[in-house]
Amino acid sequence: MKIKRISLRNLNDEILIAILIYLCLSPCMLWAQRKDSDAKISPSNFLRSARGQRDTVCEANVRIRYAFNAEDIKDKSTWIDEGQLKIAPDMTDYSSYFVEVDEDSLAHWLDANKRSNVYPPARWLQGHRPDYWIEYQYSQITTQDSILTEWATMPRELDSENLYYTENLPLFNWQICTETDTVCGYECIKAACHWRGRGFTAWFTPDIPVEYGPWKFGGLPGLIMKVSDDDGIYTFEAVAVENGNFPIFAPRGSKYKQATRDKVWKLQRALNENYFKTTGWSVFNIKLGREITSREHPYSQLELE
Amino acid sequence: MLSPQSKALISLVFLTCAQFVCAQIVLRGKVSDTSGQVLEAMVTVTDAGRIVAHTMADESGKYALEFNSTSDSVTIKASMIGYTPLKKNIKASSSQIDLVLQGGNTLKEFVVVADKITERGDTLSFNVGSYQDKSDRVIGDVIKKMPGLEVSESGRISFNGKEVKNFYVEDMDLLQGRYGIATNNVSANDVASVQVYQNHQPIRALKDIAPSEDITINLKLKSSAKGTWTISAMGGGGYKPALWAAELVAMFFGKKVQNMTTYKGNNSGIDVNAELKSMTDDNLPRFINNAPLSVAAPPNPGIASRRYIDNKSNTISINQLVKTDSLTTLTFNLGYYNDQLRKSGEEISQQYEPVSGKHRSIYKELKAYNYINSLSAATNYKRNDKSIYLDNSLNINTNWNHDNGTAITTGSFTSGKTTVDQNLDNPAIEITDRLSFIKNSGKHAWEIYLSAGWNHKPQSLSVETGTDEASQSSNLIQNYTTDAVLANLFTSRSLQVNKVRLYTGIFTEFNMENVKSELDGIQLTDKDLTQNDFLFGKLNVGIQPKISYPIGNFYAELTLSASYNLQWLNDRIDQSRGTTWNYITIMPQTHITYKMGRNWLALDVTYNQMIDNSQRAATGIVMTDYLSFRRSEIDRTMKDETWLTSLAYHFSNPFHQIFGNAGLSWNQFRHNSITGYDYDGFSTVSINLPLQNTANSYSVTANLSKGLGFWNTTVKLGAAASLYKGNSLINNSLFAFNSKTWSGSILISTTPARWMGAALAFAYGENRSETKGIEAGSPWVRTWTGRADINFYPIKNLIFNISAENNYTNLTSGDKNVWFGDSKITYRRGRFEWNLAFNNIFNFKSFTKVSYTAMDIYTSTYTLRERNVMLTLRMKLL
Repeated sequence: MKIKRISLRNLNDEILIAILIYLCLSPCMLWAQRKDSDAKISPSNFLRSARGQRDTVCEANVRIRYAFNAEDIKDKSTWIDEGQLKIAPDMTDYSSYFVEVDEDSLAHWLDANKRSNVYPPARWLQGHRPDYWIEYQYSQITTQDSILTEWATMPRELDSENLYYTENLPLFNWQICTETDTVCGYECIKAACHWRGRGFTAWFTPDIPVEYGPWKFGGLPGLIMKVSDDDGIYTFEAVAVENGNFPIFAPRGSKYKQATRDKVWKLQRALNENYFKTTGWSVFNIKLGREITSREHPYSQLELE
Repeated sequence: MLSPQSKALISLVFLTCAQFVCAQIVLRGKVSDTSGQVLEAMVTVTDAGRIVAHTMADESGKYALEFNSTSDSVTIKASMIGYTPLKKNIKASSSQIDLVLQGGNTLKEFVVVADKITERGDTLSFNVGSYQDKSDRVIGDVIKKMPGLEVSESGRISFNGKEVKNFYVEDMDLLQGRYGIATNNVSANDVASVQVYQNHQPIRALKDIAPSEDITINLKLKSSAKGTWTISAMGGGGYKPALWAAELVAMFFGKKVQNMTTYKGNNSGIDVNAELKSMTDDNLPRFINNAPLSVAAPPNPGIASRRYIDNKSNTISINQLVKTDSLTTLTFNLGYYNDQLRKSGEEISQQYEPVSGKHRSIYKELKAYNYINSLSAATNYKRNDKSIYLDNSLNINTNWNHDNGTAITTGSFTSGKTTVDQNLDNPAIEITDRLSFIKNSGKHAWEIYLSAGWNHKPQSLSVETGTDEASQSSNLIQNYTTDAVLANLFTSRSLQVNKVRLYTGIFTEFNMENVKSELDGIQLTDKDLTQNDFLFGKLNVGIQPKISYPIGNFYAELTLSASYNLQWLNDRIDQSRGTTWNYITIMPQTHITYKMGRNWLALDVTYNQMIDNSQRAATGIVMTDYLSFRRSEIDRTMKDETWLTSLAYHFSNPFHQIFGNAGLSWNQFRHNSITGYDYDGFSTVSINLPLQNTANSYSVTANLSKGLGFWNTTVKLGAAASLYKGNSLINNSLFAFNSKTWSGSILISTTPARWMGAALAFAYGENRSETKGIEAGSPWVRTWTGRADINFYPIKNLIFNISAENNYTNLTSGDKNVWFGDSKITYRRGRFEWNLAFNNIFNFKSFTKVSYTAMDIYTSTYTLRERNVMLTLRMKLL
């Protein structure tokens, strides 16, 4: 089931309460998280990257691309994001492939149109609601020496509030099962765990002998090709395995302030739930004839704790 | 033997006991490669098919695994990306096990959803695999199916309504515009993607200076096709008549060297010369002379050439490119073409006689043979540096052609037949050289373009006429030799002032033509009337200031060229006619574009002025073919003014595979004289009168192509309409003349099932010409062509193809519908491909085309190739 954006302000309090009670009581929320918030991306972040201020940290020689929350795995326009896990000998990097394509394209465009004072924003971004923000697309996760770093790029109005934090590689208490299946041409084995408030099922392949996976997932005797939570809200599924040279770039933009996981996690949830209230920004809605300073959206974060 | 039930029972007992006899095992060891280098590999232990422990070896390659097991033995496995995994069955007890891995293993690549089109800036990459079908052999077959890309009958490729300017293989310009050699010979299986560079500026020194709207296509090859020779051969025969075809193609695409060498020969109707022609020759210098003599032949019927060409063709093409360093390339291209073409058909010309106000008919039965031998060689040196660009092309084209033919002519106004034998010697040689030099020093840029050339065309036409009464036979010989030289120089210096770029250009164009002609066999009192011996020249010197201004998404360019024009004539027969003319011409031109994301709008307004005296040079009679005699009695300068206005809108969305363009154009032509026709016996006499007249043409075009998400389907739609309003000269007075044309086309290629693929095409067109006040109700000419091409793949290596084509013309008196049916069976095994083709199954033997200009109607019927069968074997030698 897909939840459409609703304006809660328009509803009577009774209906509102009824809906809230329904949402709270519903036994399991069997809907996949879409980009439902009011948070839009900040083009200036990508412009900086495209203008050549993108430093290569190291070269990866394997890249796995993942469809994130695809409604139809064959149709990229239904994906929230195409993530990419770049595996270098000393580090890994999980970032958005859609965003990287956009940056590359913009760089090409700026190179060909050097004297132009305008540029096409987000012209090459793909997927569902491409100009909207969600942390799983706009955070870059790097791992090196057993340390995980999340470089969290924030939406437009918080452009200067980009944050990063480090933590030890999370421990997943995976239970390896005997079931097998094929994902992206690779024979995979099922594993299950409970992590940060949710139950997850992963399919990993011993044929790619690394302990990594999409987002922060890892710790299995083989690459995680597919992982989803038990409520079916979040799914990462491998769609490409590639050999080659893939540069790992330093996080886009320049200002990343150090923070804690707790702070980043809470801010990301707040931005998804009520963007206007969180940022203090507002928009004037012509249909309603008034300014919107607060609008809530149903949101169930991937990491619940 | 134990029964399965007993085995299961025993196993169960063992498993239950195992709970109690479970032992903790510790495995330690070191992982390294064959050279002793330690590896941070993954080590896993599998017990009874289940992974029970895993770890990563540390920096010193050491690992330690702890697990419980009840089994006798377990499997330990070490693996790492880039190495072949190592599995060992070991005893289930604590022990030290060192593992040695062998390298040279890469991950199996896999892509679930290959993007059909990917976009990087202005570069679009069409994934060949996404559009390729089992029946597609060469890359040209696949390009036809890609949305946004159009391939014309002659092989010219355009992208979203714009013709391709450059065609590269692996970013190198090996073929110098003769890209048919690539599209017809490079295997579709060797190409990873077809890249379209939009707004491509190939000259690095101009990159930041002159924005380009040119389209370049690049074939990106698979790594398996790079740095290796590919050689393939084809041979085959058929009947009826006795048919043969042969081919030998070799190619090599390396980092520094590229080569494509082909030999192709056949007598089975395949036009092998088409691919040797340059399709990007817009910038070639143009000579002012032409060779006017010809042997009468039926006009081409306008259907696929393989239906009607009666040929004996041989072509050889050698293309070599060497990259001496990363910026410098040297290219050499050689093409040889030998052919014997036989053309036969009938032509009925219904000519309007102004005096009687009626049509009269001339019926011609034509047979013509062309013996063609042509050789062309070209070399190109290019240095493409950021600050200096140097490009020199030297082209030498030569041919020694010979044509002969027979024409049997009857007219509605005469009795009896006239048989004419014609013989034409038609050799030619042409040498041109083009040099471009660009120096860019940041703020300033200096460009020089220089071209020079010479040609020599000595023609000789002999016509032998015999009527029913043999005594009246006569023999005419026309000799016509023309030489021309040209030298053009354009130099421009540009300066950047803020956003504006100012260009100051100076140009010189020098053209000269020398003609010597003589007509023998005619008895005239004034012998000079049968001769021409003159020299005509043009010199154009001018300035061409240009200003270009980008404002955000707008880009505007204004060019104004002003020139002094000198023309001269030196008549060696009548010296008194020698004279010179002087003119000043001013020609403005604007080009404005507005970009909206991927979509853009372009407005072009151009004014052209042509003042020409060349038509008054030849006062002697020239027989251009057996029925046409040309002589200029005009003593007036031709002045033509043209206003060209066009508005075009291009849009695209590669993610949704949609490309489209629409255009409007309005052109106005003003002439100071008009030409009409009168008839004298079989001969046509053209009359030119000094009547000021204006013509307008309006046209609308729209094209849309879309790749659909299902069945690998591509749909291409096109529509065009035009209206021409002008005048025609009848009985020495002007009559309003108009012609209307509209057409529409649809092309669908689809693969609905694994065992089937289809391409369907339909084109419909109507046109009508009217001369007001002379004859009302001229008929509409309606034509359509429908084609269905269906492939079946019953088993893996077999392709069964059937195709049917219907051509309809409403004005034909005979068969309005002409049907073509073909069938082909292809069997592939290993490096061999067998092909059995049945052509023209319905055995239609002729095709009739109707066209008309002003008041005259032309009906031509061309003899087609009859039903035949052909067996060929194609094999990959390397």
